[in-house]
Amino acid sequence: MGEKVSRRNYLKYVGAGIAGLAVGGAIGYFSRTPEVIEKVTTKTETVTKTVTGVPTGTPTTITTVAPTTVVTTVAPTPTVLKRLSMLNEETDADSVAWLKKAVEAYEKENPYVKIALDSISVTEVWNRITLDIPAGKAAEVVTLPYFGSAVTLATQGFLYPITDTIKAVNEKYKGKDTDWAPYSRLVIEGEDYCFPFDVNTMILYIRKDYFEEAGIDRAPKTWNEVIEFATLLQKDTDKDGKIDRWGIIWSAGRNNANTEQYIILAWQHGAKFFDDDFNVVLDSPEYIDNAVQALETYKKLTDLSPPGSTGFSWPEMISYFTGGRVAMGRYTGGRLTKRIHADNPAIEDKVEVYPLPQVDPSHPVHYSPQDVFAVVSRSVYPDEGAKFLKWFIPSRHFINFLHTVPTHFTPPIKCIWESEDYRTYAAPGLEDLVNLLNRHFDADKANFESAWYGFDLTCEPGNVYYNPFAGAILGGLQIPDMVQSYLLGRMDARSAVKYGAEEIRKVVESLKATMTIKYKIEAWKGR
Amino acid sequence: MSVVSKGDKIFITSLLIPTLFFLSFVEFIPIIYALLYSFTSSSTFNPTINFIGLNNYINIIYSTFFWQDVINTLEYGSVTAIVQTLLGLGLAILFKDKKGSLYTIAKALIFIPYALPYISVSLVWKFLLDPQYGAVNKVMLALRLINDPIDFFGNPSNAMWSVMFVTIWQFFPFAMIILYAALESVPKDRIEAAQVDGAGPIQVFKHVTWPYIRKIFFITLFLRFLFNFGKFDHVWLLTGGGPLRVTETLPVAAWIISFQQYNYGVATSVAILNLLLLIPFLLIFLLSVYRER
Repeated sequence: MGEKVSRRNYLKYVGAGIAGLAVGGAIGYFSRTPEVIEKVTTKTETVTKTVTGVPTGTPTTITTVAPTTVVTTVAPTPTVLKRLSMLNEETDADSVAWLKKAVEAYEKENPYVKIALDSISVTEVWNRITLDIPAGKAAEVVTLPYFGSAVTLATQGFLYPITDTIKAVNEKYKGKDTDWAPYSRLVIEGEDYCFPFDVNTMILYIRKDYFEEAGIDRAPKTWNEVIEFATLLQKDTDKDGKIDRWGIIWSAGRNNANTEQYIILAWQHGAKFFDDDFNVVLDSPEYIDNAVQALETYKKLTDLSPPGSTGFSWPEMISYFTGGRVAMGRYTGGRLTKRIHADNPAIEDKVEVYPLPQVDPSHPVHYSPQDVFAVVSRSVYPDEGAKFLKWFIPSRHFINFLHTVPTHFTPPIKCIWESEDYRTYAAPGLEDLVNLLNRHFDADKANFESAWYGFDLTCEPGNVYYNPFAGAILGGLQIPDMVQSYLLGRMDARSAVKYGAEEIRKVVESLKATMTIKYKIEAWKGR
Repeated sequence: MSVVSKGDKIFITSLLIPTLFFLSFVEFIPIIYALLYSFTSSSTFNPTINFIGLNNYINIIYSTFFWQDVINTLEYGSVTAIVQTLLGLGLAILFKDKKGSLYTIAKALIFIPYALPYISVSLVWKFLLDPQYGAVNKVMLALRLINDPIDFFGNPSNAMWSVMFVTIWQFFPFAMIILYAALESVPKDRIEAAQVDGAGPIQVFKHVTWPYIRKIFFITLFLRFLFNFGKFDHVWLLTGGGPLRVTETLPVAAWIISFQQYNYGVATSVAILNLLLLIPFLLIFLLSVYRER
C-alpha cells in the first residue's frame, strides 16, 4: 500500500502542478511559431539555342518552337498567414454563395490570406462592429446597411481609406467622377472611405390584374390616389361578407420599415428632421404642421392595410404581396421581384413596378438609400481588407454578386450599370437571374436613376453635410414609436410628432456627448 | 461546536478554489465590470471610463419608460413562471404511474418544444398567429369562435399575452420533467397507506404528495421566474418590445439602449437594476429553502 500523503503535501503538489501548467502553457503560447505558408513559383522561360548542322557544317540558329519550361523552386518565403473577417449583411442564399466563391478565388490567388465570411442579419452586423471597434478587432471588410452607418464610423476615424478601389473601378470601367451618383461617395481630405454597391429606391408594386378587375387603368401617382384606389381594390373574394383582399399593405410595426415610410412621407409633405448643424427640427414651428400631415397620411394608408399592420415588418410586406392578398405593396429596392420569381412565379407577369407616389407630383421627392462596402480601420489587417476590395470590386465576382438579387443590387455608378458585364454577362449558374434582371430592365433603370434624384436621411433635401447621427435614427425605434403612438390612439398627431422629435433629440444629444466627431463631411453631389 | 478541524477546513477550501477561480471569470468579473460601467458615460464609440456617479441611475428612474418596463418585466416573468409551473405540475400528475408506449411517446412529444431553438419557435408562432395567414385565426374563424381575426402581436391589448403564451408553450416541459421526477420520488407505501385509510385523490395529494414535492415545486417556480425575468429572445423576435412599448421588458430596453442608442453606461445601469429587482425574490427563495432545512 502506498505511503499516505499529508494534506499539506497534497496542497503543495496541487499548487505546484497548477503553477507548472500555467507557466508551461504561457511559454508554449508565446513561443509558438507563426502560421507560415511557403511560396513556390513556377517560372516559364523560352530558351534560344544555337545548333551546328551536321551535314553541311554550316552553323544554323534555331529558336526552339516549344518553350522549355524551367521549373524553379525558389527558396520558400515564409509569410505569416493573415486571417481576415468579412461581415456580410446580405443574407440571400445566392448572395452568400457567390460571395463565398469570390472569397475562395481571392484566397487561391493570395495563399497568405484567409477570409472568414460571416453572413449575419443587418442589426447583427452593426452590433458586431460597434462591439469590436473598441477592442480594435473589428472585421476588416464589412457591408453596411445604410450609407449613414459608414458616415457615423468615418466621422470618428473608424474607417480605412479605399481610394485605390474607387480608382480601380474607374480604370476598369473607364469611369469618371460624374459616373458616381450624388451621396454615393464618402470623401474626407481626398480619400474615399466606402464603396456603394447598390441603391434601393422605394417603389410601388401593383397587381395589374386586380387593377383591371376593379376598372382602374393606371397606377396611382399621388398618395390621395393610392387611398382612393386602395378603397376600390378591397374585395371579399369568398363572399362571406368580410374583406379578404386589401388595397395596399402598409406596415406599421416597431421596426425600420416603418421608419423609412414615415421619412419619405415627411419629406414629401415638406417636413425635415435635421438642419445642417444636426439639430432636430421636426417639431419646429417651420415643420411641425408638415410632420403632422405626414402622420395623418400614414394613418390613412395603415387603415386600408390588412389587420395587424402595427405588428408587420419586411417579411409581411413580401408574403402578403407574393401571396396575392394585396393589390399594392411598397418595397425599398427590387428584392420583392426576386421573391415573386422564387415563391410565386405564376404572378410574375401580373406585377408591375412604378415610382413611389407623391404628395405633389410636380415636386417629387424619392427615398433612395445605398448600401456600402467599407474597411474598418480598427481591425487587425485593414490594409489587407482594402487589398481585397480593390481586387473584388472591379472583378466579375462583384458582378456575379450584383446578379444574385436582380433589380435590388443596382449599382449607383453609371459606368458599372451600363457595362456589358452588368447587363449581359451571366456566370454559369446565374443565367436565370440575369434573365430576370433583363426582363425587369425598366425597374432596374428606375432604381438606378433614382440614385440621381433620391435622398436618404444621411443628407436630407436641402442639406449640405452628411449627418453622422442618421444611422442611429434609421436603425432606432424613435420614429416607429412616434408613429404607433398616433396610430394606436395614445396621442394626437401633434403630440406624437413632439414626442418623436424629443426622443430623436435625446439620442442625438447622447451621441453628441460621447462621439468624437473628427470630421464634418460635405456630401458628395456628383462632380 | 464545529466538528470540522482546521486542517479539514483548509482542505475543503483548497478544493473550492478552482471552482471559485472559474466562477470569478465567468460570473463575477462580468458583473463587476457591468457595475463599473453603469457609473460611467461610456458609449459604443467612446469606451473610456468617465465616472459620472449615480447620474445614469437617476436618469433611468426618472425616465418615462423605466417603470412601465419594470411592470412589463414583472408581469412577463411572474405570469409565465406561474403558468408554466402549474401546467407542468398538472401534466406531471396526469402522466404519473401511466405505463405503455403511448404515454412514453406523449411524454417525449411534450418535451419537444423545450428542445427547439428559440428563434424557430418565435418565427413559427409569429406565422401561426398572423391575423390573415395564421392557422390559429383560420381555425377559430372556421369553428365560429370569433367573428374577425385576432391581431395577436399588433394590438396593444393582446401583444403581451401572446408573447407570454409562446414563452409558456416552449418552457412548461422543463417544469413538467422536474415535477414528474419529484412525484416519482414520493414513497408509494405512504400513498397506499393513505388510500387504505380512505383518503381521496385530493386528500392524498394535499397531505402526502404535496409535502414531498413542495420544495421542488417552489424551486422550479423560482427558476422559471429567474429565467423568464431576464428573457430577451422571444420578446424581441415576436414584437421588438412594441407596439407602444407594451411588451418592452428591461432586457429589451437594455439592448435598445446599448445597440440602438449606443450608450453602454445607461444600458448596463438598466441591466444592474434588472439584477437588483431580482434580489428580493432571491432572498425570499433562499429564506424559504433555509427554513425548510
